[in-house]
Amino acid sequence: MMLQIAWRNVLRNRKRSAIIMAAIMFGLWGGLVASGVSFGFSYDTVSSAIETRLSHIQIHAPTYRDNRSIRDTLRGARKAEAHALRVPGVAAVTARLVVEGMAASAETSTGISILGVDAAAETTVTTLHEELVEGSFDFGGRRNRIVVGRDLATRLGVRLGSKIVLTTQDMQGTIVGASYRISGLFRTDSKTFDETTVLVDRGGLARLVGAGESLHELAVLVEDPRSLDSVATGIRAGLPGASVETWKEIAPELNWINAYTEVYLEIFLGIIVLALLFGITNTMLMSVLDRIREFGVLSAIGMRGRRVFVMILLESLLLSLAGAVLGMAAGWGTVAYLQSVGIDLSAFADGMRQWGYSEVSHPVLPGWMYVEVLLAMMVAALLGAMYPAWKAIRLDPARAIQTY
Amino acid sequence: MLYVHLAWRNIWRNKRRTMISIASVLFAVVFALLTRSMQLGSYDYMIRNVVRLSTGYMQLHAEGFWEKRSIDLAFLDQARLREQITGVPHVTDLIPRLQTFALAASATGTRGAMINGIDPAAEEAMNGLAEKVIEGSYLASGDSTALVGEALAATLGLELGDTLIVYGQGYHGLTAAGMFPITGIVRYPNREMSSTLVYLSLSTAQELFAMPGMVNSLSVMLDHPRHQQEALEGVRAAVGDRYEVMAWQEMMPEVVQGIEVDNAGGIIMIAILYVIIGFGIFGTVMMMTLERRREFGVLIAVGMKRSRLAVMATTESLMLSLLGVLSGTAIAAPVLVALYYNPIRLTGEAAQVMLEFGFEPLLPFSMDPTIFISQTLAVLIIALVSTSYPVLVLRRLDPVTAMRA
Repeated sequence: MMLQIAWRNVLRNRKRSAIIMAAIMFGLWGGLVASGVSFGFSYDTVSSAIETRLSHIQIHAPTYRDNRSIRDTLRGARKAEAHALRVPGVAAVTARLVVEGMAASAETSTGISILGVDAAAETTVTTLHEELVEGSFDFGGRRNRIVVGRDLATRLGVRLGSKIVLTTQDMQGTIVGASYRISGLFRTDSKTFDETTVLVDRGGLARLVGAGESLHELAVLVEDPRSLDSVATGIRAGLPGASVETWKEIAPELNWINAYTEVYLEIFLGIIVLALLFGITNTMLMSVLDRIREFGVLSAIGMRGRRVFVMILLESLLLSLAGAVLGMAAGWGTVAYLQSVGIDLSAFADGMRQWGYSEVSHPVLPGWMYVEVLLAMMVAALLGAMYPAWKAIRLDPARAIQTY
Repeated sequence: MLYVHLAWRNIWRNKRRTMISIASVLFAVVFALLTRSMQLGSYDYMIRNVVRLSTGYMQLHAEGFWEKRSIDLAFLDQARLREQITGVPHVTDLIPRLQTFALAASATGTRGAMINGIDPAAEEAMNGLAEKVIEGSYLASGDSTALVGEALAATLGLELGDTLIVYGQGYHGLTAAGMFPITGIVRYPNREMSSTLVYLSLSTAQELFAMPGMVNSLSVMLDHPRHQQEALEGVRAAVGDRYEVMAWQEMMPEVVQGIEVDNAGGIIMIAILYVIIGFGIFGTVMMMTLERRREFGVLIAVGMKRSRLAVMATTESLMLSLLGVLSGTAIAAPVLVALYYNPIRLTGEAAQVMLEFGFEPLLPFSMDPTIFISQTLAVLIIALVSTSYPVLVLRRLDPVTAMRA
C-alpha cells in the first residue's frame, strides 16, 4: 500500500518528476555509453595484442628476457612443448626461434626481431595471418621467404616481392647474413611491432644461425582466457627450469590499460551519480515543502513520523529507479547497437597505432557495471531523500496545518 | 538595477532550493576546473617533454629524410646555414645529429643499435643527457669514445673501459666499422631505448660513416612554444626549399592525435555532467515559475509588461547560475594555484609508465584562462536554456486563469 501511495505522490507533479527522471535517464545513458566505448576500446586493444602478437602464455629460458641473446635457448624445448600440450586448457602451442638483427634494403637499414616460425603451427596460435594486407603467410617450405610488417616495408622503401638482407649473429657470435624475398605484408594495431618484426621459416633460420633444433620461445594459446592463471600454473609445475609468463607479465602496460579503464570509469560514473544526487535532493525537497500542510494533517490524525519518513524515501527510490531503469535500458540498447556496428576510429588511426591501441572499437559493458550503477543510484536516491524526509517529520503538526 | 535587485530577492524566497541549485553548479564547476586543468596541464607537459627529448620544436632535414631515414639523405652543417636559422626571431638553439642504425658488437655478442652522433654540449642543454650517465662520464666534443645504453651494455657483456665495435652502412653504401672505448653508461627507464642507444661525438660519427661535416638533422629549440608557427615560417623562408623543415606535430602526429582523443574524452565527460546539472537548474527555474503563476497573473493584470517580467526571470536564472560559477571558481582557484606551483608527484604504476616514456612522473596543472572561460560559458548556456521555460510561460500566460490558480 505504501508503495502505491508513494508512486501516486511521484505522479502528482508530473513536470517536476519528469525533469529529474530525464536528468537521471540522460546521465546514466551518457555515462554508460561513454563507459561502453572506453571499455570496448581497451578490451579490443588487449585482445588484439594477445591474438596477433603476444599469445596467452610464453615460455622462455630464465635468462632470455633480460639478455634476449641468441644463446638463451630453452632447454628441452620439445619436451616442454609436449608437456604444455598435455596441460588441460591449452588449445595450441607454437615454437619459435627468435634472433635480433638488422634488416637492410638498398636504401636504408633498421633493427628488427627475426621470428623463425613453423607457418602451420603459428596460425593455430596467433592470428597474424589474418592481418595480411598483401601476399601470403605461407613460406611454402622456401628458406628465403619473409613476411614483414607494412610499416617496416615502407621504412625500408620495399614492396611485396622485393629483396631485403637480414644480418644477425650466429650461435658462435659470427656475423651472418642472408637475402630474403618478401612474400607477405601484415598490419596489426601496433606500429612498433609492425616496424620491428619479421617472420621467416624456422628451419631456414636455424641453418643460417647454426641453431640446430634449439628454440627460444614457446607461445601458448589457452582455450578459455578466464582460466589463464591456472593453466600457467599447470605448465609451470612441469617446467621448473623455464620461465613461464602470461601476457599480463609480458606486457604489464596492457594489463594496466584495463585496470586503469575500470578505475577511471567507476570514478566517472560516481561523479555522474553524485551530480544526480543534487537533483534528487532538490526535487524531493520541493515535493516535501509543497506538502507541508498535508504532512501536518497526516501527523495530526496520528500517522507516525517513521511511516512518513519511509514514504518519502520510497517516493525518491521509485522516482530514481524509474529514471535509472529507463536510462540503463537506453544505454544497454545503444551499447549493443554500437557493438554490432563497431566504432571506426581510423581518423585517429595513426596516433592510436603508435600507442598500440585498436582502431575499431566494439563497445561493451560488463554486467557488473549495470549492477553497480543501479546500486549506486539506489544509494543516491535514499541519501538524497534523507534531508527532505527528516524535514517532513520535524514539522509541528499544529503549525504545519496552518501553512498555505 | 531594479531587475537585479528584484531577481536577487526572488531567488532567495526559497533559500534551500537556491542553495542546492547553486551547490550543484558549484560541484560541476569545481570538478570541471580540476579535471580540465589537469588534462591541459598534462598535455602541455607532455608536449614540452616530447619536444625536448626527441625532435625539438622543428627539424631541418635533407628532402625526404624523415620518411626514409636513410643516412645518405644528409646535408652539410655549415656556419652560413646556421646563421640563416639563428637569425630567425625566437630561435634559441640548434642541435645537430647524425643518426643511423648499425650493429653494435663486443667479443661475446652483437645487437642492432641506434648510433647517434651528437654535439655533447648542445644535446646536454636540450635534454639533460649528462644526467642520465650513471657510470663514467659524459662526452666532450671531439671525443672518440662512446656512451652506451645500460641494457645494451649488459646484453653485450660490456663494462666501462671495454671496447664497443660498431659495424654498419656508411655514406652511399660504404662499409663503416670502428672501435670505441666505452667511457659512459646511460640509463633510460624505457627498455627499448636503453637496449639500442649508442652516443658518439658528432665528429667521431662523421668520421665513422665517412661524412665529414655532414648531419641528418638540425633540431631547432625556441624561446616559447607559442612562437612556433611564426618561427617555422621564418626558418622555411630563410633556408629555402632545398631542405625539409618539419614541425614536431608533423614528425610525431601520434602525439597530437593521442592528445586529441584524450581531450575529446574529457570534454564528453564534462558535457554529460553539465547536462545533468542543466536539468537541475531547469527544474529549479521551472518550479520558481510555476509557483508564481498567480503572482505573474496579477502583475500582468495591473499592467506590467510581459517582456519586463521575462527579463526579470532571465536575470534570476543567470544570477542562480553565476553564483554557482563564482563560488565554484572561488573554491577551485586557490587549489589550482597551489597545484600549479606544486605539481603532484605520481607514484606506483602510473609513474612507471611515465618513466618508460622518459618523463618525470609529475601531474602538472594548467592555469590557462580558457579553462575558466569555458566553464563560465557552459553554465551561462545552461542558464539561458533554462530561462526559455519562464519566457514561454509568460508569453502564453492568461492573467485571468493564472490569478485563479
